[in-house]
Amino acid sequence: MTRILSVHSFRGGTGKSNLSANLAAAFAARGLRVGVFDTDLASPGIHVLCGFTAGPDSHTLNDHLQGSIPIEECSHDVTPSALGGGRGRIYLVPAAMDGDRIARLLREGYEVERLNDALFSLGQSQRLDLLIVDTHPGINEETLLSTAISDCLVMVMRPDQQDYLGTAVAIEVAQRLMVPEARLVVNKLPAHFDAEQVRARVAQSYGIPVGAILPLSDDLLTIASGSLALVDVPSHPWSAGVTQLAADLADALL
Amino acid sequence: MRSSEPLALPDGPLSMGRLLALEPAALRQLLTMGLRAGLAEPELDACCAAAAPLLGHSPEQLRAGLQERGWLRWDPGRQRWRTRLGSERPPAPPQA
Repeated sequence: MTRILSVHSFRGGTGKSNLSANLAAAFAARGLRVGVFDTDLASPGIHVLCGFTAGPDSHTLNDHLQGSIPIEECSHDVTPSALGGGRGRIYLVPAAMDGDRIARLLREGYEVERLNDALFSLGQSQRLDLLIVDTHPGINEETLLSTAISDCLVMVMRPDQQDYLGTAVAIEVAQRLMVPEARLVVNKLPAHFDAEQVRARVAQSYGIPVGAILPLSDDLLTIASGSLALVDVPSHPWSAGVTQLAADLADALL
Repeated sequence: MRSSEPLALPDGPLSMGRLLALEPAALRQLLTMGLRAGLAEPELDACCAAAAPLLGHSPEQLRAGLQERGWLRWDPGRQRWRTRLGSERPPAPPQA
């Protein structure tokens, strides 16, 4: 059965989409079949990291949620050629990127029930081992749903006070929804912070396992802002941290 | 335990916000399991048996109340009980 992993943050700008895309690459490198849903419908972005450019006939998640296109036709194989030799695959379900479609979705909404059905349907039809849900930041109907159906919630935060407070709220919600597994990821840790001190502090504050402490990296912004760091610079400390996190999650979930 | 009082659950469609606010935890667990893979008949029986006494009702009353509200439906494709979000009450059966 497909395991669902939601990558969530209380506030925007935590690097959630970057982590989602690179986790997908790390799982695919381990030979897993992975789906990635971009449910950040108001501000989609993960397609850029996955190297996906929509053609005139390319379907997106919006076409399923607000139309009648089967979810399978909205999923696109974006497996990087560097990972293409093995069993591992990445299927991206992107959100619509043009302004009119985004505005229509925000104006008209959709039945959140359809998102739930789409996740389980794609997992089954594509025989996915894992499905990563890249969520919209904050708490709304969609993020509550993706949290509730998750086998594991990965909460991403930056080491700042607003994120500390907001993350506590999101974790309390996840606990009320009885998510079986959770990991906390501190991303964009400035170089002058002591990683072990931060790890100890967040572990004590939230009472859930710390999955990774990932460094803030100016060079990554240059090298891999529009691509997958795990593919472009696999030995970079950020990439190595994500690879380690993927190994931990695979052990816990599969 | 059996009460003649109406089930102390809100009326109307189920939303995630509403599910999050429900008590007791055993009821949230039932509905969350229904959102995930769905519930086989014995699982639904067990969940109703766990949650109903905390609401002061019988498992049968709880199950009927969830179905009446349209929060729980049988999925013939998966052969499981699934939680349904945003649903209206099911239509009344045809009158004889």
